[in-house]
Amino acid sequence: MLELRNITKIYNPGTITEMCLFDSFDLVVGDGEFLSIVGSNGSGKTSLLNIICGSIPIEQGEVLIGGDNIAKMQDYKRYNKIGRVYQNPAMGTCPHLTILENMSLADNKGKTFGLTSGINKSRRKFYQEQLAILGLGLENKLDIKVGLLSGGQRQALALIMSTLTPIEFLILDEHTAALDPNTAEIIMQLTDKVVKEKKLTAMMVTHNLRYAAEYGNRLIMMNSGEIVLDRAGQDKLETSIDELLQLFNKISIECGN
Amino acid sequence: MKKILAVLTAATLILTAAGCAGQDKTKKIGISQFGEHASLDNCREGFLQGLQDAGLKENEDYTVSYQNAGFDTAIATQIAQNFSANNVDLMCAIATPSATAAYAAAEDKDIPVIFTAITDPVEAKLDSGNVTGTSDKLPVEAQLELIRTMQPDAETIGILYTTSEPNSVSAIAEYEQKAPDYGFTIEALGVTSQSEVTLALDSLIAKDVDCFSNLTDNNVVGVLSSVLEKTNEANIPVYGSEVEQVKIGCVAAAGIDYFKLGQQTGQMAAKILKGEAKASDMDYETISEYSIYINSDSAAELGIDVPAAIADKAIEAADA
Amino acid sequence: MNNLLDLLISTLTQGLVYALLSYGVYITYKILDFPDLTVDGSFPLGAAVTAVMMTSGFNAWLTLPASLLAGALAGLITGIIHVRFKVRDLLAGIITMTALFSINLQIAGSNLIVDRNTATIFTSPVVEKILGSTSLITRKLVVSLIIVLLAKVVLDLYFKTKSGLLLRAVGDNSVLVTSLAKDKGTVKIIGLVISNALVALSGSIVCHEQRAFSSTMGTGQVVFGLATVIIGATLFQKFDIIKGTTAALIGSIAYKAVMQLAISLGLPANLLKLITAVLFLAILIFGNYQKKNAGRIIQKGSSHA
Repeated sequence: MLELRNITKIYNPGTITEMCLFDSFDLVVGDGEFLSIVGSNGSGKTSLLNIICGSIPIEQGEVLIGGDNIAKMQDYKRYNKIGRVYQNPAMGTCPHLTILENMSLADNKGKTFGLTSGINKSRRKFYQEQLAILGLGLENKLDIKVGLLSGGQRQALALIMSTLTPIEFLILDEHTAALDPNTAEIIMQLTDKVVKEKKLTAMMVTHNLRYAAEYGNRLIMMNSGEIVLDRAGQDKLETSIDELLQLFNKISIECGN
Repeated sequence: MKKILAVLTAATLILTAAGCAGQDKTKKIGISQFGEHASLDNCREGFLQGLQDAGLKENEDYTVSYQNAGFDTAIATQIAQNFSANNVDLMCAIATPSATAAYAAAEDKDIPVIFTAITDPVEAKLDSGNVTGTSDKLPVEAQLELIRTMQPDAETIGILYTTSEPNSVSAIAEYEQKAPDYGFTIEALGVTSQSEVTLALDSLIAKDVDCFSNLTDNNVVGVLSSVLEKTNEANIPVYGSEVEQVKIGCVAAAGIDYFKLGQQTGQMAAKILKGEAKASDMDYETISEYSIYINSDSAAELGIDVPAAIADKAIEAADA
Repeated sequence: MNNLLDLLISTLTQGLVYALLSYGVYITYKILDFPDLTVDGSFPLGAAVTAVMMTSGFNAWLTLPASLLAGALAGLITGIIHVRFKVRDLLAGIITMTALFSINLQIAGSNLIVDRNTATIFTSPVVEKILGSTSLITRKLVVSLIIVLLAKVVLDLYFKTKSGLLLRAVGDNSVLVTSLAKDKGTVKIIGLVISNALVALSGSIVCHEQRAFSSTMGTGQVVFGLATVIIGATLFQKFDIIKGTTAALIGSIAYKAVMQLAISLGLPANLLKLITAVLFLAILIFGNYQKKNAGRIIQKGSSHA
């Protein structure tokens, strides 16, 4: 479970461009939830992810994962509990390493990177099984360098890598935004499949209202650091894209966007 | 790999061609000079003159291959290895880094190495083995005496030197030891690179030294012109350590003549080439003669009257 | 022909001895993508440590681990300055390099020369026993070859370990390393430590070979290292199988061979650096041209490892 309690985030504090984004912001994401977050630019979606991952500091508040407050923890340590897929497919994999090497790295997350062999041959089969979930044939290309794969293939690999070891929480940071519509669709379906199969708690930021409506079991819309819409369960299922679009346009006009 | 082989093959051809040029009777001399610089050039020219003084004729009795390392130690190493591989009969090394490299390259081939322009061959570990040469140790006492005669009232002498040059460090030690005999105190200031020389100079000028004495320190000599510009402005005379420095504008110097030093080295080399002596049996030589050089223009500019005692025996180094 | 053989042996030895430095630069520049100027200081550091130990009567072989350790420390300092104090990579290297200039002189006193009677690693009793009465240049070649190949094998093995894999990952995509819950800063420090240890080892062996330490012997070594790594990578970019360390090793030998060729041709020393620069440029242009040609056949690939 993820809890954000009383978060205050001020950009450029003490300067003329000071801007308070979050003022006593609260959010609870329960176990097994697949939460989609939508909102216009500047609404605070990405800041939210960065606050959870420790990429940006906060002025006040608590970030709890599984009950532990990680607000003061260094960013890299938080990833012991968090998996993250980025917008840019290049961020989730190492282009100069082979698929096998990339998988081995991901497989060793949370353990020591010592002087034992980097690749555990007995795990090869496991990696192939994991990659087979994607249905992209990557399981037969283990010794190919990731730089030779297409953006979609890399993103799919990044998805598998970020969920290879047990994590408390998966963050999907506009992870289909840089892909062509077809590939985006495939990756979205894969994401859904992976999240369901591995029973993950996930948080997806997206600009695609259709994805937000179709996938996941909870949806929130943000505006200026506040949640303006929060639907879960049956309510979420009944939320149409048109309704979302109307609300989205309304806020955007109010903001002058 | 093919490309590398091609390069090496090309090298092979060129070197074989070069190797065939020398015949048995003609001795091959390899001269490795650390860099191009007036004193070192004088040494080399003197060396070649010395060989001829001893009755050897170029191209008949000996051939010369000359290389300079552009003040790069790694290049000096490769030059020495080149000579060694070509089995020269004698290596002449000018300045310490070249001598060290030459000696290392000749270590087990027993090629005699003859060096020059080295202040302290003992410190440089070049005092035993199949190696000999000449030392350009500064005539410190003569210099102190010269300064005393030129400036009877002077009390402190400023000296700039590079802390990493053993030649300079040992010269400073000698200056400090002998200065009291002539009523001087030494204000020595060390630098680690050429760019620090001007800073150190400003600091010594600010300490009101009565004059500067210059060593053969490479870093300092390299920027001597700009040093002189500043000291002239402050009206402080600078004494050099050899003729080239006086030519540039130092007031005077009790210095050795590098051409003569080279000449003496050339004569030693001739003995080795003729088979009259072995480098391993010959002690290194120190030039005992020195000359007094003077630059009347600089002296006049600084308002120094050159005492007759000096003017009589001094060699004028100012451009006419 | 004997002359030529000697010259080939000597040149090869030079290339080998400096190849250790190239390995180091390969790690920082190619793997970590970190332009590390510490090299100009850690190279003479190895030589200074070696010269002092040799003149104080230590066993020649002990100087090698000692230099490795000293270099590792230098790399650690650059790493801490960069990672913990958030100083830019170039500046962090410059700071350590500058400090090392003084430290090297402090260690050695001044430029030092090792007495002819002191046994170096090339003249040590062990080597004499094994290699017998072979000429010194042959012994130098054999000993350097063994050390350099040993270092290469150890490095190549290391790159295949988990730690080595993480090191390669950090230069490739440091975000991923963070995602793996590892501190990318620590990984960079490890890379700098290994790199500078190798560079100092190179300095140590050069000191054995030359029996001398000079405070200025580090000047330009970074440039040399970069040149060899890039030459190596350019020559072998078509061959994915060739390891980066092999490319660096051959780059180093090629560089020294070209210098020797220039000397043998009697090119004026004052122009040697210019010739090097021109040659360097030519190789790079040639490399780009090759890449363009290769690009037509296969899609944009990569040559690493």
